[in-house]
Amino acid sequence: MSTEARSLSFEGIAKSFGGIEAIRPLSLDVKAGEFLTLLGPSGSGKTTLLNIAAGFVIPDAGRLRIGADDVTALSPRKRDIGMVFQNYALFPHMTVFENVAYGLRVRGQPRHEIERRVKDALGMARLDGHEDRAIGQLSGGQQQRVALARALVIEPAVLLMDEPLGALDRQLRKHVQLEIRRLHRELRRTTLNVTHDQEEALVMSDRIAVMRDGNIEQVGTPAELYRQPANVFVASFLGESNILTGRVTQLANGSARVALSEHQIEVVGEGAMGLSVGMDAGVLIRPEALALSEAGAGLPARVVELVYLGDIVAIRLKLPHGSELWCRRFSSADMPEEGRDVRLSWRDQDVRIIPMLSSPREAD
Amino acid sequence: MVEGSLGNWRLARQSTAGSATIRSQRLGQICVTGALLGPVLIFLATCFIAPLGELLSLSFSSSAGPLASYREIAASGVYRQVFTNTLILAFNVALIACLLAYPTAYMLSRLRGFALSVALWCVLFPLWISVLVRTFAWILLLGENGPVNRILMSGDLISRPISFLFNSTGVYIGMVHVLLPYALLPIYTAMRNVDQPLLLASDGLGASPFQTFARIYLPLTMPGVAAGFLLVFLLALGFYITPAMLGGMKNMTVAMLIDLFVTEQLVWPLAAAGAFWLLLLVLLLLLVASRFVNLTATVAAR
Repeated sequence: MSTEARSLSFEGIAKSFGGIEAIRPLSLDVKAGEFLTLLGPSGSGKTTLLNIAAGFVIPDAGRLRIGADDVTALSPRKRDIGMVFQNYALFPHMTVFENVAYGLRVRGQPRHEIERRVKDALGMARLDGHEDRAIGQLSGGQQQRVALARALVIEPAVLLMDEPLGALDRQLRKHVQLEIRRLHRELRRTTLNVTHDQEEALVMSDRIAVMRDGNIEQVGTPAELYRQPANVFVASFLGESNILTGRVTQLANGSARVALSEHQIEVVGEGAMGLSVGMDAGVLIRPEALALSEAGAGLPARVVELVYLGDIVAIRLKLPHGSELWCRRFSSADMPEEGRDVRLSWRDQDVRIIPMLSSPREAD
Repeated sequence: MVEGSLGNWRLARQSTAGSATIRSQRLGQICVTGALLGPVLIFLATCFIAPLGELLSLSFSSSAGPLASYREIAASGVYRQVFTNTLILAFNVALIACLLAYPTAYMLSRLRGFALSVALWCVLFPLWISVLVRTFAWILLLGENGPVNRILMSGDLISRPISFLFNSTGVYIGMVHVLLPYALLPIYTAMRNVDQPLLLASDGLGASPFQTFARIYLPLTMPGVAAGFLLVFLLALGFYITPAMLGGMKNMTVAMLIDLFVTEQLVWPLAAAGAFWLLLLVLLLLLVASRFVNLTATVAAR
């Protein structure tokens, strides 16, 4: 049992199941004390990667390190990990106390030590007074916190979480996201989290690794991924996005010019890596970066629909050539009406020119 | 979706029609319940409860007074011994069957697909053959000149044939064999219901394989073991053919005693009293057991 948070490193890890590559050779470092989320659609390999970290799946190639130690060949129980399972996997024949105490009991900790630490962990998870409850008597949110307390009480070097909020309803999920973030800020345990929910990833993580088809498409802080997505996949997976496609006509230190032949305009924006002149590229303009005006310069469009989301209004716009864009702005009295023709404008620094697909994918 | 709208429609109808409709609906539910349970209730009443009542009145019909038959059995040391033997036999058979069934059921629970089908057929197949035939087979196999003794002798493992038959060894072998599937199936079901992530969770929390077995797997499969034990125990208590054919006079069970009363001594009240003594003992045992084990949960699936 360690009290220090340690780093978790995947070095050239690969895994196939029956000829299908679940994880293509990849490397990833989770720094000591960091909260990193693997984000991706189902089948992207994120859960396999987590199970490799836990030791439930043995990789075909590569090394796994916790701190400086090579743990690739170690069984899960020797790895010093705490795991929160998708449906919590709480022991149904034990009380809340016994569930949380389990990891300490099997390690043969003295009784008073167990009592003290379980009490601390339950307090931390705001479960005081629930010690003697049966698991079946708890709500989903409480079960989730028991699972978290059970994983944290052993003070693992690395905390692994597999869709920890997947079984909760939407209201509760928002609350628990903040709760987990609070706990992480307090304890600073190295945490590897898996989710397909972008909001969850954005709220809780220090860094996010976006996965697709067994590859990591991009690793970065939530702000980096949102503002500077590496490609169209990352851009559309995180947040709302408007993506128009065109051809790169000019590249100059960090910026790119793209011709949108359909709309007969050229757009300038900050260019991502991996672009060259003549290539197809995506033009990303986030909905909040679009400005609407009644007349003047800009791209002509028609307001098709207004969707009230409370403080925010989403406006669906149609361009003359049929593509649709979304614009989001704060609710106010002077909203354009549906069916009105408007002009769209944006600032060049809010536009991102990005490759359609990541470069390794084009190689295969 | 369809169900939801149907429910809403019903709700709307109820609120407009008021409490009279609710009452008639409840009446309708009672009628449906009665119709569903009716056939089996009639069958049980005519074919089980009525004969049982007949038997009960028979047990009180001794010429020496209503309770004389009960007293006669309770007072006799020999009869008491038969009851004790039967209980011990049933208990031991249930215990051995569960011990043998547990690892087998574990292996079965790990199998999938074709291998599982084959294995389950192997378990269920013996149930299709009459108990009588199977017991005869044991007489042939375990006889002084039977294949078992011949193999042991030819291998120089023993110098004289072992007598397996007409003693308790034969009874145990025969009864465990016949009753094993009844222990195996509930244990297998309990094992299939164990959530695999629980075992991974235990592993991840630092438990050794033995700790995971003792603290997670065994407690979670224990209801299946209890169900299997209870089933085999109750079946073994009333078992007749196998102990009668494979056992000797020393291994007399209550069922054999009752048979003796009816066919040899022709004392029907005594036979009926014997049957009710056994029923009473079983009910008492279940009552005691229910203080320690949740019997309803054991027999009914979770």
